[in-house]
Amino acid sequence: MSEAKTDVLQGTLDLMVLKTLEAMGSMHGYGIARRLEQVSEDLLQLNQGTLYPALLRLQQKGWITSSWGVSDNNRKAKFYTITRSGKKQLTIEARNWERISAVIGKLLGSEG
Amino acid sequence: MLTWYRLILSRLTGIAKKQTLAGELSDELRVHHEMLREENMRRGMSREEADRHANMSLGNATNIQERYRDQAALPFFEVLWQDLRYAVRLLRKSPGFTAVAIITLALGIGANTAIFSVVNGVLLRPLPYEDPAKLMFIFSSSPSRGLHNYGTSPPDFRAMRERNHTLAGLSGFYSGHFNLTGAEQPELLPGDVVSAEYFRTLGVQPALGRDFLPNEEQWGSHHVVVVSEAFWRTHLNSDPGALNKTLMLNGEPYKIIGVMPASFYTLVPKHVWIPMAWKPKDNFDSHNNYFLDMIGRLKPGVTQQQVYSDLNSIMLGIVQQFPENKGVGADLEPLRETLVGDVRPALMVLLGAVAAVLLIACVNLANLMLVRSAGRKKEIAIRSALGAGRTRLLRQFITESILLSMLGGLLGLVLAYFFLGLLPLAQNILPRMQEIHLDTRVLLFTFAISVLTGALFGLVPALQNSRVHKFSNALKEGGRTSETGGGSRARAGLVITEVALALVLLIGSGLAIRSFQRLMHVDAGFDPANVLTFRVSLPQSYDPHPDDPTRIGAPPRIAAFYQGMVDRMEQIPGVRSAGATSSLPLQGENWTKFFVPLDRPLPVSVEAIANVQYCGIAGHFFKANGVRLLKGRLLDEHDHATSALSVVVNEALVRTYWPGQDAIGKQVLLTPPDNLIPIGEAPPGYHVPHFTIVGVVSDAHYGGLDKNPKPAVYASVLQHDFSSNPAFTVRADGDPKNLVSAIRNVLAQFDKSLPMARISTMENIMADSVAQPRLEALLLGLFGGLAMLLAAVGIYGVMSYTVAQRTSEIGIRMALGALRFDVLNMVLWQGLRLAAIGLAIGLALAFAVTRVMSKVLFGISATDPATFAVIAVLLAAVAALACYIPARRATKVDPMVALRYE
Repeated sequence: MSEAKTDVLQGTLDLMVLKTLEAMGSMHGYGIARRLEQVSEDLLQLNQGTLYPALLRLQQKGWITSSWGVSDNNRKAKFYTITRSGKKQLTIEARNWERISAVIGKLLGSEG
Repeated sequence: MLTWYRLILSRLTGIAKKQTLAGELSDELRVHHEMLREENMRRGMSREEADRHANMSLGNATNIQERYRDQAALPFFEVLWQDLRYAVRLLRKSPGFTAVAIITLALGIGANTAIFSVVNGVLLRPLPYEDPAKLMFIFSSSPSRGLHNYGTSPPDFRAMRERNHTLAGLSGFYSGHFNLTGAEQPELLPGDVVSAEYFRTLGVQPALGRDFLPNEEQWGSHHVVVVSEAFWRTHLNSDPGALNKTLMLNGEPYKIIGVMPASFYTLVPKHVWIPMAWKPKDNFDSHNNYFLDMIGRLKPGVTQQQVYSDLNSIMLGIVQQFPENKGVGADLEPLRETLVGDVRPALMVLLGAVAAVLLIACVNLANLMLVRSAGRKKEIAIRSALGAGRTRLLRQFITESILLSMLGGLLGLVLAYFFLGLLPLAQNILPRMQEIHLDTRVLLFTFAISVLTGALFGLVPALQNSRVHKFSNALKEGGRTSETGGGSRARAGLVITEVALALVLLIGSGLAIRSFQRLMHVDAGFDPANVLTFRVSLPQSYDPHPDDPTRIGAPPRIAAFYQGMVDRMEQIPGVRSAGATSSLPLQGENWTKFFVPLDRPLPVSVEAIANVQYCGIAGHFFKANGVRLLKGRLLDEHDHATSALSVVVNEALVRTYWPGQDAIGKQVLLTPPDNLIPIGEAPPGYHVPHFTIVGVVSDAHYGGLDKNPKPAVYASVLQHDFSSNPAFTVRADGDPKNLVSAIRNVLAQFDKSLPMARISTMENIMADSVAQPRLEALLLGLFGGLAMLLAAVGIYGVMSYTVAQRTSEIGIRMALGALRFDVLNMVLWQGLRLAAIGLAIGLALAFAVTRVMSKVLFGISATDPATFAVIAVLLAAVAALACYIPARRATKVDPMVALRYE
């Protein structure tokens, strides 16, 4: 993936990860990747590993936390949980998206 | 924004936790991979297929780890740290180069820091008063008479103060010296006589006690004084109870009402301030005397132009009531201009000079770096092959050069600190000297030019070296590839730049030095050798009726003082002659009086009367000061209160009024003629005195040596006006300083309360008057010499390197029959060609640039061809020498050795 595409997707990726964790509770990296794959239909089919730097960034911003735990097939894995400030960020981002899509919707609608 | 702080903080701590985080990532990726593989196998793939798919899904592990690592910490700083460590290692490997580079940089940056801190303290920092941009220096001006900047009369000042509506405050003041008596030794204190709102206008308050009250400007209520912090410390023991104590100043008691804070700034140190007040009908408090300086504060939103119109309309109004004021107007300039405006051109020239020195140093360093890094081709090739992009390489090189320049800058700061320690030597030259320190702005400046310098001299070699062609060649030949075209062109360009800059700077120095020489050769009009001078301030008690305009000459007590002092001093062994005057040469004092020659039609109005410099003298002043008699006779003991009224004039006056004629015997007036004296100013039947010119003397410079001497007239204090603050001059047989104690005794015999003040020799006064041009010439000469040295070293370095590079070529030529002489010529010519181009460019550049200096130069044009020519030849000779030595080395090349090396 080129650098530019990654930057564009960074924001969206953050949003999707936060939403996933909020809806599904604590998950490990593989679980998050599977879920995103399902939801975004092949957006993350390749290069799932790039999820990890993104998860690190979200941790650094304080929007998620991590801890080591045991997965359902007895593997030791790192689990991620959304924090309160993460939830707040999610609300803010979601509102922004709604606003933008409303505006765009109006623009597109007015042409028709 | 909290989020951002958290992010930065996490990344900072991440620097330390890198190992742990990397380990955790590996674990996570491994687990992820296993889960993917299991999933794939569940879907029916074989183990290998499942593995392969999992690999593809996860992506390139190395890439992920790199991105993770970059996110975990701050890669910019990691790279920087890496580069720095590498740079330090490299520098330690070549200590010679490092030492030379750091010292060169320290000199260049240090000089810039020093000069900038002077510019900062004197020109850039706002004056230490409240809202200083609003303070204006206001003065009288009569453009119609050619007088542009002189003092104001007290009635005019009061009128302006009362009637203006554009100023938030207007204060008047004049400086004086006050005899402090009552202690063991009398002392002369410098101080100002000020209007009541003086301190308020400046926005400063006394630290102790109170400010003046408006009614203290009335004669009788004026015996109050505010003292300086220094005086309070040294004379009153910092005692807070000193308020309300009395000081005896000029024989009168003054009550101390306040102490100014130590931070209060005056151009010259002042220790006492008293309110201005005059007895009713005092001649000083009239339109006959213009001597007040004024400072005003603009009201908010008011412009300079508005104040100008306001004040001039007030002045026009005054003319209606006082016609003798016709033509007198007002003008103003920002106070900062008044205090530092004179020094600005000189400082700017100095700043330009040190900048040029730094640039030349940069060029030298760039060359040095180029030479040094030519041997690093192998290293660069390897790094490129391993994946370093051009940007990365560039970054490495620039880091090296900035590291060097930062180190040089640090050392330069230390050098500048010591240089500033020498500042007190420039006591009389720079205003606002106490505000020159290495403050924040100076430190920032040093940091900025260090970084810029590093970037500048690092750029060319960095660009050169990060360009990589032909890896294989570089790796094979172990780095000794032959010269690329770009390299030698870059070096040639640098040499040309160096020579051009050095030439410009040297020409500037040459001009400054010659200007100073011209100044020193000006005929001062008097002979300063072995002449002692000092001042005495006569208290009011010596002159009980100051307001009698009809008296002839000094009152008895003062006349006796003048004569007595002169007579007794001449009796001291070792004294050749002694005299007194109201104004000493070269001290810029300007006591001017009207001058009306009577052999032509009288002027029709007061404002049409010309002014000339006036000196009231006593004793053998002319002999004591070495002023030469050119015609007629000098004033002497034959000129006293009852003899014919005589004056002596200078050549400039004769040239102005009687060009080509004999002025001896001509009759003149030193006041307006009878018909122009306002009614009521003189008793009925009074006629102004007529004076006869009895002698012509040489033109002594009363302004600076660089100003043309103005017409001057001398009269004896026994026959006309005198100063109550005279300067005595004593010509000694030997060192005049030996006479000081003897003279002090003589003065004490006359009056124990009179201190002997401002003791100096005429030679010192003369040296002080040229101190600024001398310092300028000295500094510019220093910088010019430095520039020439740097340029010579630079040329030598480049030529040496070229010779070394061309060793094999020279060997071949000689093997093929070239004579040593041919080789010498070839190398020499290569170098001289560059120098010639540099000289040509430098000459053109200098021609354009030295105009900046014209304000600072005396007696020489900024494009003086002789100076340009001589300096160009000088630099050419130096350049030739710098080329010659390596060229000679080239002839020593043994062809067999050179060829074998190949």
